[in-house]
This record gives sequence, C-alpha cells and structure tokens, in this order.
Amino acid sequence: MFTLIWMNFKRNKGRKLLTLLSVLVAFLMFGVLMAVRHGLTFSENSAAGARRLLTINKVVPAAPMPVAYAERIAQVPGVKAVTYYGAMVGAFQKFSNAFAVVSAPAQSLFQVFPELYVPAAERQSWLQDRTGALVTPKLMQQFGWKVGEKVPILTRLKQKDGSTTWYMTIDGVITNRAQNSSGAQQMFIHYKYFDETRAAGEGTVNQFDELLDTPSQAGPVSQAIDTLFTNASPQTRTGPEQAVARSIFAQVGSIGAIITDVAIAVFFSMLLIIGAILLHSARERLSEFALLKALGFGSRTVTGVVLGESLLTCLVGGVTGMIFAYLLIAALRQTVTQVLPSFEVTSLAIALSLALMVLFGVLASLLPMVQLSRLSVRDALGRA
Amino acid sequence: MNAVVAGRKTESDTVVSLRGVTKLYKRGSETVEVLKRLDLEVPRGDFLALMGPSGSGKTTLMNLLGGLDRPTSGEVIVDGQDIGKLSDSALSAWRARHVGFVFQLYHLLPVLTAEQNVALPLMLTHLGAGERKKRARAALTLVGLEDRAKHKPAELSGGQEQRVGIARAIVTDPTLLLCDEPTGDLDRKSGDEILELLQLLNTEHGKTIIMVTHDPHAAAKAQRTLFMNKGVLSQEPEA
Repeated sequence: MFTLIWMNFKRNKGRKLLTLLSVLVAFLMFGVLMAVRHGLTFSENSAAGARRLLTINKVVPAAPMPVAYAERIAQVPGVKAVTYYGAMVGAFQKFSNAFAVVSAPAQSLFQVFPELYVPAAERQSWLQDRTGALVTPKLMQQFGWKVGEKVPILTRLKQKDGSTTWYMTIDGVITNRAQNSSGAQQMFIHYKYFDETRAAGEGTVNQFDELLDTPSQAGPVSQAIDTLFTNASPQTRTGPEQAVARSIFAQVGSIGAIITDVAIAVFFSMLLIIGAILLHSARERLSEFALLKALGFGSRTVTGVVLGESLLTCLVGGVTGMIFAYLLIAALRQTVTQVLPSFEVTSLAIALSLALMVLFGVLASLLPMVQLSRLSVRDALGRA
Repeated sequence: MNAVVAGRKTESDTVVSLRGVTKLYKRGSETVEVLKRLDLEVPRGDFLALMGPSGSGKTTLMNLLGGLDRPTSGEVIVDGQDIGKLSDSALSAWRARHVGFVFQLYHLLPVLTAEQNVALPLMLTHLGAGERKKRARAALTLVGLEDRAKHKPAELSGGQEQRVGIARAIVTDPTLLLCDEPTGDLDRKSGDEILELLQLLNTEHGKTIIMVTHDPHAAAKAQRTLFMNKGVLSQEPEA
C-alpha cells in the first residue's frame, strides 16, 4: 500500500508543491506564533522566580512611582526584600545602537535577583564605583568594550548640566544564570547616581520587585501592597511577575488570545484547502479507486491510500514548516530577546505540531474517504 | 424463463452457472428489469462471446459474474460458490482469487509502471516482493511485453496498454477471465492481436473467457456466441 501512497504522492507535481507550500507556511506561522506565545507567558524557572512579585503603576504600566513606596512595601509582612529600578534607553555612538539602561540599588538588586551573576572582583569594583556600570556579554561583544573602559552613552534624558551623554565606566559583565541571556542588551547602573544626575523625575522609579518569604504568600502580599496605595497617587498593581506581565498585555487586547485565534484561523483555512484539494484529487481518480476495488482491494485499503496520502502531505509540509520556523526563530532570537527572552521552539510546540499534522491529515481525508466508501465500482468503472 | 445452456460438458466441469437470475434497477420512480430470469452454464475452458445492443444487459451480466454487483433474485454460482451470498469483504477476496478483468479502457494506474500494474493484484496475496515481480514479469512475457516492463501507461500504445491489462488479469491465474469490450478502443490491427492473445490464453492455457463485444469480427474469434436483448439470452441474434 505504501507504494501506492508514495506513487500517488508524487503525481501532479505542481499541485502537490502548492499544497505542500500551504501546509509549510501554516506550520511555519504556527511555530513562530507558538514561540511568541511562549515568550509572552514564560516565567523564569529559577526558584526565586516563583517567590517574586512586581509592582507597577496601575494606570500606565511604565509610568513613574515615588521611590519612597519602597520603604512602605518593605514593611508588608511576607516581603523579604524590595528592589526597584528606573530605566532609560541608551545608545553607543549612534541611536540605532540602542539598549536598555537599568538603574537599581546594588545591594537589593542582587538580593531580589540572586540569579544575576557578576564575578566577585568585578562586583566589588562596581559597588565602589558611583558611575560604574555592569553590562551583558552581548553588549561587551557588540561594542568591543573592555572592563575598566569609560564609555559615552547617548540618551534622551537630560542631566542637570543639560547634557544627554552619560559617561559610564565598565566595571564588569553581568549574566543571568537562570535563563539564556546571551542575547540580552542591558546595562546596569547605580540608581543613586542615576537619580541624582537626571534633570527631571527625581525620586521616582518605574517598577518595584519584591522577594517573598514563601510563594504561598503571593496573593495576600500582592493585595496588601496595593491596599497601601489605594488612596495614593499613583495607585499600584502588584502580582507575580508572569501574572502582571499578562495583565499588561491584556490591556492591549490579550495578545495570547489573539495569537491563538490567528493560529486557529490559519489552520482552519489550511484544513479547508487541503480537504478541497484531496477531494478534488480523489474525484479525479474515482476510476482508479474503483479498479482497486474490482481487483479485490477492500474499502479499508482504498480509503487507506487516501488517508496515507493526506497524512504524508501534512507531515512532509508540516515538518518542513517547523524546520523553517526553527531556523527563523533562531535567526530572530538575538533581535527580540529583550522583548521576548524565551522566544524559542519548545518541545511542547513540536509535540503539538506533530499531533496537529496527524489530526489535520485525518480530518482532511475524511470527506474523500466517505466518498470512496460509498463508491460504486460498477458506476465508477463505467464512467471512465 | 429464458434458458441458454451453453455447456457441452459434465456438471463438474461447469465454471459458471446462473439460475433464474433477475436484476432490477431503480431509475427515479421507475423500476427497470435489466436481466430477466436468466439461466446460463459455461463450461471450464470455454471462450464465450456475448453480443447485443447497448442497454441489453451485457455489462450488468458481466458485473454479476465478476462479483461487482448482486442479483435481485436467483443464483450466480462460479466454480461451485454462490457469490451472491458472500459478504462484501468476502466478495472482494473472492474477486482477487477467481476473476481477472479486462476492460475496454484498460484502467491501468498511470503512476505505476507496466510491471507494477501487473503485480497489483498480487499485493493481495502472501507472496513476497521478489516473487510478485517474477510473476509479473512472466505475465508480461506471455503477452509479449517483457521489454516494456519499466514503462508507464502513458509511454505505451493502446494495444500495449491492453496487453498489460490482460497480463494483470491473468497474473493471479484466475478461474475466469471477464473481458468487457477488450478491443473496443483499439484499431483493427491491435484489436486482432488482442483477440489472438485471448485465443492463445484459451486454447493453450485453458482459460475460461467470457467476452462482451459489439463487434462480430471479435465475436467470431470466440468458441461460440450468445446474444442478449432486453435482458434475455438467446443463441441467435434478434431479427
């Protein structure tokens, strides 16, 4: 039977190529969309990740909040440590070389994010250097910086002297041991220096991060923190990192749901296309299927040929599509790593795609199989 | 009852036996009696031509004999088996073992080579790939096409395609060869070659052949001819 399936698979090469391309494109989109979805919903695997909350401005997620909130948050029962950061966009030599500049208090930063690693000597050097900076390996490599080098950082944020160029000394390299941070483009500077130097926004931060005593306290602690600022301006929104991130995306229309809807629409279209092509192809070959029946092949064998052809089409096109998706994601990962740090093809996505290939192969062949099971050999041979 | 006993041999030598076979078809609200209580016996080794005008019931009779259709009433007994009583799956298996079909339009699978087409019925046997290939080659040699084994139908002439069709029909060594207008789509020269081949299979290899044809020239190659008109068999054409 496989000979028949394979020989039929190879016939009508133009139509087959177009069918395979439609399946390929559908699974390419699926692979990329799943990677985007994973990037949006992924939470860190570190143990501390499950024990962390973040607090943002309730109305506008990136808008500033008073740094003084930190002291009040630290007093909430269940909060072990609090850190915060103010952020700006920096660039080296030209604004197209942009990266994130994160200003945070050194001690609490490492306390709340223990997965951040800096060699001891470099860490000590940074702690003692007011204008010092820690940068990710990607930035070091990209700009050819060396430890100890003083570099001018272009920003849109004015300093008190009116300058928008910030001079920072590279004190060391910072990496995230909990996830692949090879593509991250970040510079960490001292919040104190950042806050004292900038011309506007003094005493404000963009986000607080809280380390909890135990994960089970996440709900009550979140509620307790937000209650602290119910009558303040601005109010806050606190929750586990993943949940808050999702709620932010929910504000712009639930990206995850949109992605799912798009994926469903793509696959539904694909299913209709393949089903129509298979139905048409089976109709063209009714006399051939009738001949097989006349020769003594059972209905199962005949419908099995159609099912096999459909499965082969979905698997060949789908696997190729997923391979292309993998290559595309690998090529784009460096570019999108800051927005989607976990932009990757997961084993779940691969397993799901294989299941979908089989499912669509079966579904697309249902109509032709029903048609063939009702085939009258007498009529089909007479019609040819 | 219209009875034609074509056999001239003993009961045990009878390959085909039709007893009171009637076939009705529904055409809209109308019921058409295509075959009318037919009786027929065909002895082993016979080469019988069936002639008659279009719509007389020839093809319907062939479909019944080949197990592609069932009678409305009566018995169709082939090689001692009442095939009308077999289930669909049993009938499929029976066709694979007992009947070789030769069609007017050849019905070769265009994606397969001549050899693969001939070997197709052998896929239903327990033979290994090597043995299937060997037997397909032998059948192609018998019809004079051993040098065309690797050619696809589109690369063959009509006569050659029909020879491949005949090789496919005989490759399982069936009890009965049913040929439906085997020369109907061929020129006279190719048609004659096919008829000579069928004669050879009948005389040299003892194949029992029933052939439907419109062509008196083709029918003359058979051992004898029966005529069908309006669902009734007779030994003489209707005037």
